[in-house]
Amino acid sequence: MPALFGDFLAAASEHIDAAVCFYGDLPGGAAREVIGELDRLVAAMARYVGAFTPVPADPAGAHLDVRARAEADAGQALREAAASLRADAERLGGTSGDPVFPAARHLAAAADALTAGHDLLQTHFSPARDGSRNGRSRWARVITSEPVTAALLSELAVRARQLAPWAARLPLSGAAGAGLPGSARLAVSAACRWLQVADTAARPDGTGYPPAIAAGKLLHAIPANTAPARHRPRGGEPMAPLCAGAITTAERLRYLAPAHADRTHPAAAPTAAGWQRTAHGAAITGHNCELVLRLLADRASSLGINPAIPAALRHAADATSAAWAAWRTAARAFDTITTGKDAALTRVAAEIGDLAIWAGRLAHTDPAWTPTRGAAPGLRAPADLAFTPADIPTVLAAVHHATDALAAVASADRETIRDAAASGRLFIPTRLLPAGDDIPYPYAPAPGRHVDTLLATYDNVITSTTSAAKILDDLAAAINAPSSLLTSIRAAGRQPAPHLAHRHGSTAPPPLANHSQLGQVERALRTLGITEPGMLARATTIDDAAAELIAEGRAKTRRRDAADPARRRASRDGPEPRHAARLAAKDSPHTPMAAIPRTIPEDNTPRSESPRTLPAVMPGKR
Amino acid sequence: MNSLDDIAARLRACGDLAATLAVSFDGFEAIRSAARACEDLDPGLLPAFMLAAGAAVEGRNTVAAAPSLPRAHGGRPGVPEPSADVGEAADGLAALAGLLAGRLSAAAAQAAAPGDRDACAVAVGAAVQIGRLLTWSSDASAVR
Repeated sequence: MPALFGDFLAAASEHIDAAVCFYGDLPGGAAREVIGELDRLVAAMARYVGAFTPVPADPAGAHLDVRARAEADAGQALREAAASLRADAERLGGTSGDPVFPAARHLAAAADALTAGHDLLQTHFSPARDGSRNGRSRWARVITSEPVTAALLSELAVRARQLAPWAARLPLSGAAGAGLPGSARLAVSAACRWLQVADTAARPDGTGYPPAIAAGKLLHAIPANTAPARHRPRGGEPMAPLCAGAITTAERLRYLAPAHADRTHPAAAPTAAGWQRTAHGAAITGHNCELVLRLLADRASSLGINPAIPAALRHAADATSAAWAAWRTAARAFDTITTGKDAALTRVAAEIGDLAIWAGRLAHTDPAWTPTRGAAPGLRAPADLAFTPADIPTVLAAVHHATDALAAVASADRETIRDAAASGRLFIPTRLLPAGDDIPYPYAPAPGRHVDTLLATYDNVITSTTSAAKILDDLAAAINAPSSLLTSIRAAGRQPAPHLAHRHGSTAPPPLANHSQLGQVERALRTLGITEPGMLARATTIDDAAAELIAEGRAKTRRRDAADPARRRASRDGPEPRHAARLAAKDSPHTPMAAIPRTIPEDNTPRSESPRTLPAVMPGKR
Repeated sequence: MNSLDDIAARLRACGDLAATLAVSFDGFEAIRSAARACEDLDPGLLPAFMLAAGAAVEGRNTVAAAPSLPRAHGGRPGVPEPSADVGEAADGLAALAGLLAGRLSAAAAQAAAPGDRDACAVAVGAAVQIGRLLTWSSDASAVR
């Protein structure tokens, strides 16, 4: 199961709650730690704002709507707060390694969690040549949708509301307050004011009302854009693991489907063998889903549930039946059309059989059911599928996810087929041509009418499968199935593909009056007379990244020194040279930003599998 | 009209690689056609027949790319008459697939050109897959 954004939000929230519980005086050194970690935390919050909101058409602001203005104000406020705290932390001399004081440790953990969450969201975007970012998953549209953006700002505002009054007390508390320089007090006060501004600005329309609960749920449910590990059926799984297996496999296929259409990866060139394998797998999956839906309808009737529910389940079964029939027609089209000797399979084609088996084992009594003649054909009793009314939404969710994944696969396959047709890669074996056609090649170009029919067939697959998925959307919402989230995702998918500014997405740099608060790169640009917002925003990004990396490096060095007396002595003699520019370069706009945090599992599996490659030249003269 | 029995007899009579490849092409095509015709006869066997047809297409297209396959002058292979009993039909297709696997294995052993050897080997895999799908003693690996 991929990490969810909500996991990181919850962790950050927990640590902020713990940090602001501290009301005592700050002992010597603690103030420095707290200010330093508060700086990191607010900087992490600042990175969110603007990073995931589409670039406004009029960045100058004259025509910005209330939402865009609130986002811009909140972002600027948080950046101001971070800049203020940064200057303050630098004046205090920075921290000496990992924080020791409990409140500072909680702030550090909260900053780490928010940074990881930010990186998780970034996995849904890929960099464009101009440094901007394009969505690379269907969650990208969810992330940039108005309700979810409002929910994100609301979450940040809640944290700001907690931190601001607490931080305001820091310089005034006892001995520690006395130990802070006056400039630090002013900076912290300024930061607190900006946090309060951020809180106010983050409220949509200034009403103070929180965004829709559904948007909040969506925000928390955003996964890392990585494929779940392959989950093969083992046999004998009870009902709940069967449903979970189907859902995990569906999520994996949904993730793999766009990569399936990756035209930049030569090894991923789809083949007719793969399309047919996929279409067969989808047809068998759909056939089993239809059986499950009819069993659920029978069970809902026998349980005396609202008659509208069994009727809706039968309606969904009919739609699913039409969908799998369309898939079967698509599969049959490849009885004649081929891409030649290469029979390599994409990962979707290689793994869709898993989904067919999960769905088959939901429908059939045989715990080791496979789509073979050897499998016992008996269907489950309806009560075996859903013993209580509460079981119906769980089983429906599995069918819903499976159908939704097939819709995504259908769209991806149609695109790759269209590409193959456009590049003249569709053929038919000459031995299947009518008598009298003497063609000295093993394959001949597929006639145009065959290609047109094939594409029309896939149009029908997409229409029917998407229609079934939408019917299941409504049904899932009606019975509050766990998969009802898919409805919101599909709704967000109707929005235009997002195009975001680079990283911070700041269209206007914060109007910092004092150059001493600027990072080295931004200061250098301003010294050169650069005022272009995009360049300054990039400079800020580099400076922030450099500062974070240096802080991490310092902490690591000190941890290492602590474990090695010789190093500790050397460290006392003089600090290790810093290479800020080199560190910053790692996060420059020219570097791909798929910086996945350590908390997100890496996906090292290949983009395609080539279980077999057929010999012979194609189309070669014999 | 090519019956499965006719194709089996032709396969047994093949004396060289080229003939084996040519009859194998017809054999896979006959299995494909028959499996498609059987798909709707028994809902419980729908998946098995669908996948068997897909495996037959893979086997047929593999043979089509073999360098030693003689040129054909067009004309689709005949379509076998569907069996009245779906179980008998499955048995017949599985038997022909088994014969194809055996003959193509032998052909692979005698083929001189790597392209022919590879084509025969892959086609053997497709034939074995069809057998697994359509016989009672199937195992789950048939669909992986």
